[in-house]
Amino acid sequence: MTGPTTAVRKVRLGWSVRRLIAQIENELSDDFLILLLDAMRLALAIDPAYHRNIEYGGDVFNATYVFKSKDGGVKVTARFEPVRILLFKRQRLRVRKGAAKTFDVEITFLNAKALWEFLLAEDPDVFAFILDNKLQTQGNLNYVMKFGYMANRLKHLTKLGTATA
Amino acid sequence: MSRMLLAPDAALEALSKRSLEESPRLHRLKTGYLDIIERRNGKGVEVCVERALLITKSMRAPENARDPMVIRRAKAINDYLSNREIHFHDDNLLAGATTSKEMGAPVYPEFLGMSIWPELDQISTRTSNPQKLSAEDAMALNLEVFPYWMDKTVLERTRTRLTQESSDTLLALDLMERVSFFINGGGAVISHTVPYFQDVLKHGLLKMIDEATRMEHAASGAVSPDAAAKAHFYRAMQISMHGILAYANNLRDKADRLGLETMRDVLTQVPAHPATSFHQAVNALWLCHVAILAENVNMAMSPGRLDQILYPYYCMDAEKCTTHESKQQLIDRALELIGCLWFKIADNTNLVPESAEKMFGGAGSVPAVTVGGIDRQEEDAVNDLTYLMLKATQMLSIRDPNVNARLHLDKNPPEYQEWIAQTILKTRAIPAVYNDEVVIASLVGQKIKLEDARDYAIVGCVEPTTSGQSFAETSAILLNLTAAMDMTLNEGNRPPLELEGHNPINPHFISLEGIDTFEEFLAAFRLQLEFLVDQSVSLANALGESHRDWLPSPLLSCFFCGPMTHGKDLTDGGATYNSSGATHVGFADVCDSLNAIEWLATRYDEDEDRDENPFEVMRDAVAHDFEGYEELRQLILAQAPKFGSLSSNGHGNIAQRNAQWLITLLFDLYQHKDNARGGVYRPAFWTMTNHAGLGQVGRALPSGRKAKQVFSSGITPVSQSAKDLLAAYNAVGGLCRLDHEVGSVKYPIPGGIALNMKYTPFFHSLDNPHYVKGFRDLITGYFGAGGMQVQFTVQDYGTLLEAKEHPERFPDLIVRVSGYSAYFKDLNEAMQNELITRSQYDLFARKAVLLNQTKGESS
Amino acid sequence: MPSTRHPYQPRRVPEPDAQHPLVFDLVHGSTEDGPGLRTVVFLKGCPLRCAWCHNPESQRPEAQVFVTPGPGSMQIFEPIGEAMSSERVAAEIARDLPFYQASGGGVTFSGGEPMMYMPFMHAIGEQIRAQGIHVAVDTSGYFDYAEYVQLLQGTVDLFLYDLKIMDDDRHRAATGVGNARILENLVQLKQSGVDIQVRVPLIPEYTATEENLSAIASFVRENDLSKVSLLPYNPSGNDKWLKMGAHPPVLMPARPMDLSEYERWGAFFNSCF
Repeated sequence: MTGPTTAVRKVRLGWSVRRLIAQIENELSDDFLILLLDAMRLALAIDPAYHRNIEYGGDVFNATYVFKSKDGGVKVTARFEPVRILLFKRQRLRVRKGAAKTFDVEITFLNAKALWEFLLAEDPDVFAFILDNKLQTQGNLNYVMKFGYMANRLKHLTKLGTATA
Repeated sequence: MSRMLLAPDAALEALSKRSLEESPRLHRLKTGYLDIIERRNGKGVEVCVERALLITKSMRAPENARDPMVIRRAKAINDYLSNREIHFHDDNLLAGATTSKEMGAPVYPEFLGMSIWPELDQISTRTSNPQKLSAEDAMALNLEVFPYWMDKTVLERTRTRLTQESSDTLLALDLMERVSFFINGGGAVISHTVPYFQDVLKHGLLKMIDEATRMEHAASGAVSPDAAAKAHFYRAMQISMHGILAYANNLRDKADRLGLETMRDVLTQVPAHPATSFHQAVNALWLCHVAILAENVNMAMSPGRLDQILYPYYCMDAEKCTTHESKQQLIDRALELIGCLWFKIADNTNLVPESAEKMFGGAGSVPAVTVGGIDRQEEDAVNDLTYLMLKATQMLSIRDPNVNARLHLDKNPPEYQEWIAQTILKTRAIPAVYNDEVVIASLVGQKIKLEDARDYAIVGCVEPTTSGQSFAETSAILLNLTAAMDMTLNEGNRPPLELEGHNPINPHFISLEGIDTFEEFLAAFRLQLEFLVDQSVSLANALGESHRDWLPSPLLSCFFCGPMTHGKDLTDGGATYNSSGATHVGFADVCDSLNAIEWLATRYDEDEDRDENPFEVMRDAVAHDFEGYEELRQLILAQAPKFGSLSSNGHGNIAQRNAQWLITLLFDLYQHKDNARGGVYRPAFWTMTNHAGLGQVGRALPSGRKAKQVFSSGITPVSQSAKDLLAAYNAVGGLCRLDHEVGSVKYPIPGGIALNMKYTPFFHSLDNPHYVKGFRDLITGYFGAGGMQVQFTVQDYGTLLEAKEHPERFPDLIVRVSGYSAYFKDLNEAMQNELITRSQYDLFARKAVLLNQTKGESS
Repeated sequence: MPSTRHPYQPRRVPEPDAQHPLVFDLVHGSTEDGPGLRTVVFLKGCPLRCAWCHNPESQRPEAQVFVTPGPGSMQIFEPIGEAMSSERVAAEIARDLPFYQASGGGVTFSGGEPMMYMPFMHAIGEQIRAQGIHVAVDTSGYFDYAEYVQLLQGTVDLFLYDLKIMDDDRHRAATGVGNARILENLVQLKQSGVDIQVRVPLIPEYTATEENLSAIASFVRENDLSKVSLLPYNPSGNDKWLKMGAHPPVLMPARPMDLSEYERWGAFFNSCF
């Protein structure tokens, strides 16, 4: 029963956070989260191997993720959905500000600072986050798992330099 | 029962002197096993994706999609068993393996298998307990397996249904996902039970398939509302059993090709036909166990009383022995086969994600084997196999299987007691020991027939259930008792947690301001405890319904008493007995918290100058983690009564009264709750490693325990607090069997306990008759006092500290967590700390050797 | 605000008498004081003043206090002697019944001199008789035999009987009392048929002399006392005197008797038979 939260910890996206700090400095907004998600969006669009995560065999991945902070500082929706390009239907990630009302999973941080702490920590203690009320999830935890894998993979890809920078 | 080939004392004596080196095959297998455990020579634990792939493929197949779930499930298991790869990794005499790896962690995506999804790329290389997974297999899980199951796990099926129904149980689900209130095992496993292997050994699978076929026809012809469902179920049983036969055939063909004639001949007979020799019986039983793990999670699926089940087949061989030499050969062969079975049972482990490692790590798959005790007619059941199994346990000294020894003080012979003591002192941890009188009485109190109760075996950690008849789901609930204490002190809330729409979390609470007496405080605590019990039961029941609807177990149902007769799956209440287990974390910590609160209230009562409310003082002290209240904390530690110290300062009876109050309250609460299968909940007190994990995130407690410290394990008194060994034994014994009936209850812990005792090892202890006798006397004395179970770790503070510092020096050091055995090096830091700080008793002085007295000794 | 006051209130301890002694220690699970696992009840008060006494806190019947330095300038007070009813002691004894049964143990009354409190032991004996608990008494032998016959005979299963010095004057000098009564009681007990284990503490220069040990050996032989054990000297008394704010009446060796010396005395003693 402890597994689901693992993934949350893995939603670290720590790969480029340090670079982003320089850009965003102390601004605690949702911009940086959007930047991170944009990287994922691009990778899905241009790296065929990575794209398989949302379209493989007969499986297509349709899902809505909402990232929020309780203080209202962060509200981001990431939606995996089909888009029609001429005759082809293709899966893509769409990122937008604001929180969708319906979602598969919603990840809520206490405030933007908690999100920062979580993303910046080398090895964040997810249980401490949950017990300190800094983090909670609502909805299907397996979606968190999958997202965790994709984020991890993305980190890996960027390190190898095969995905977009 | 009595000894047969081992009847002459000289024969038993000779067996006791056997060493591993005298059995070359077992010695080789042990070396290979250690290579894996110690990750030597490129070996190690591997994730095996074969099951997940084949079962997912079958579940995806459009031609199966319209079948009833019980048949789809049976077909999937059959597809897996029929198409598995066949490997013989070593010269083990037994055919069949849990996975295709030497030591494999199978993936069960229908439960929690997906929890490793985020770490697929790291699981091979992580520092704690890495499990090898090839890139190709990882990608197969990512792209082919997991996407299919995303909305279909037990937990998500349950969430979906509860959401559709806008059920109140959604609150329980939310609480569970906050980690520290309670954990419902139903989301992770159904297993936790003891199957019935007697039929397949006696009749063979073909006859059992015939029976299911006949029953299917009978059901099809009937005109009753459940006729179709029954027919489907019987059909599913047949499909499942055909899967086992297919697997056995593939094994036989491969053995034949490799020229393994003995193995080929064994597999020609079993499991299709009745076993006619010990070797056949052991292999048939093992193949069925493997098949059960194909269907159900490899967690606490317990083979049961192997010395009883296999004995008739040992006797068949023994009757053919006429010469001294042939008898000796049979003893050797039997010992070798048991050793081979032990290695087979140990051939798998759990798939564990890293954060779970950190929180709850070190678990094996905890297959429990039970030996000794009495039989259904109340006669001594100790036989040759009992001794051979204890011997194999001594010789191998490996973590699995989790060997448990039943002991009946009147019926079992003294030499058996001696063997139990010797085995524990040799392995320093194994077996755990159970008191037949108390366990049987506790089960009879659960309306189990006396003969069935006498035939109990241990499930998983420590949970006694009737063999093959009781679908006991002993891991249904693990409830953190300290959460109820937190909520009592915080008006139904648990700061800093906030649950949207639920403030306070429990709308029913008694505010401490209005409390004048300790009795009123108990009433306030009871409100919170009742709330958590209600919540955890409602979710456990919801998960039980999901098991029935989405994860029927037709294969396991073949190896159980009841389903064939009733035409009902185990998950649907098909077993003879249906119960669920509810175990508890933080028992002694909560007892000592109640004791400290009562102590403080009494002090304030006696002191006319004090007009503060002691309950609020305690709340404030705890809220500040005793910062600024250190003097109070020290007084609590020094003077407040402690569970396990019956008489130290004249307050002993207070501690025992509060402990009995809590035990009987929990008994009452659970015994009035029905589970999804028509049984009731049985309270228990074992905690695996959860007391360490939950303790390290827990807040301070009135007992004087500061935040983030481990809790005490199982029913064990708080570490370093119970200094008098006999008092500790008496205290625990007095809870398993009450002095006086409370209500009509005398045996209030039917679910089982884990009492951890750590003894100072004695140099050459085995050669010291005083040590061995002292060891035995303490067990029998504790059992006489009512004790139900006890398990030992014979290690001192210094060694464990060194093992934490230098794990490489102690790669196979076995210790007892709360229930099963574990390799110390595999445990997370919190659990290692719990083991280190656990009270160490000097067996000669019968006193605790306190940790702060020995500091510096280890260097 | 946190509590800065000490909620511990020392209780008033009543004056002890023969029915109501103070208990200065109660040990569960001992294997030193008789067969098997035993509960040992240490009663406070002793008519003897042995120079080597290793439980000096047991000598006076009334309550006393150990004082030791605590953190900073604090002192830690540890009361010695607790009034316990015979019911409470009987309950403490009965608690370990399963362990007596498992090991062949029971209760041992020790002290001080438990035979100062025969009415108390009698009252306890009445309460535990039904459970068949084995009773041993660890005595200096300095007691009123008539009272024993009246109150305890038949309820004590075993005497652990100290024999110290055979020379009456030296006995008086070392312990404050003569040994005539002690030797007389031992002979009478032996004749009564009760089980007796004679114990000789080996105190350098007091009891552990060749002359004394051969005299003990003769006495033991003459009275057919088959079970005798020698106890090695153990110097635990010195610091207890200091904790009571007093000085040891005689400075005893600070080190316990080493094994070779103990074995030498054992060999000598055996050679006397």
